[in-house]
Amino acid sequence: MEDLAHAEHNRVRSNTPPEILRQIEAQIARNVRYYAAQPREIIAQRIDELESEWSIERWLELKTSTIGFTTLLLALTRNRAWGILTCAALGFMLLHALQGFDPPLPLLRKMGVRTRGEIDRELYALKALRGDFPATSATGSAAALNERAEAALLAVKQ
Amino acid sequence: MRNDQEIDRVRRHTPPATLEGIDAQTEANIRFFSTQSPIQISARIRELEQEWSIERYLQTNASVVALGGTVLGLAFSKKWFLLSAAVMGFLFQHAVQGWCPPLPLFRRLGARTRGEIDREKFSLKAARGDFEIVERLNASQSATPDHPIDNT
Repeated sequence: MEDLAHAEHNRVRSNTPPEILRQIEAQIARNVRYYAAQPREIIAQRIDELESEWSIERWLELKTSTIGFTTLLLALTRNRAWGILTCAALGFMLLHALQGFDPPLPLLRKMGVRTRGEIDRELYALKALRGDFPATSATGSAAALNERAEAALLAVKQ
Repeated sequence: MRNDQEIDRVRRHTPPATLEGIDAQTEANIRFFSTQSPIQISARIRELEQEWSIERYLQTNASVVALGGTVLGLAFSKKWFLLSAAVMGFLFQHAVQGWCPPLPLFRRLGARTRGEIDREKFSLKAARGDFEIVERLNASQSATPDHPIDNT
């Protein structure tokens, strides 16, 4: 499990507290183990769901644009000092884009918001289980299913 | 290529010709690197993980432009705030819809979504043989039972 924290090189992941990173990795593993036992249609549905899951980047863009727009309106109509707050929000986003860290990041990560890379690891593990890499896949005994899930989890790791 | 079928919001809002170009590039990369040695593939995977995604370019662009407008608004005319407000509006639209005015330009310059980068990454992982064990287990269990096993 420890080495999964280094499953991929990503600026957001290196700025996420190890404890939260462990939880996110555990969630991916739980999902893969669960879906490994499901029929193809359910796996396909889950893959679609994963493709439309909101990544951390999207949440940060939404948050920054909302705060930025509101404070700018206040700066225009009330007191221009509101612009200082806008600068702080924009500075954080720039910091996030360049460095991968900004103050609200730990909160979003704690709520389980994942990076696209993390979402894609679950996605490709499920694709492997579905048999997208060669053409054959099916269900078997419970023990064999677990073995396949573990193999898929291992495969999407760096 | 009809891109209104795309699940990814950014791909859906990329002009079809640009999208074809991006996919062709990804496929050319996969074809080239999958014939290389495992060491070279691993180096390429590392490179892909560090590649700047379209979100990162847009965030940098939006924060620099809007920050400039806000500083000018604070120092000089309040009208500069309008520039920043427009940028924030477009960023909001991008987060929700997947389109904003600078998007076509960045896409034409070849900026990929993380999903597109990951497609190359996981294809190369497959080429490196990372999925071999799953493939073997898949094949050895292809005697399909009548009902799936509930593993909750």
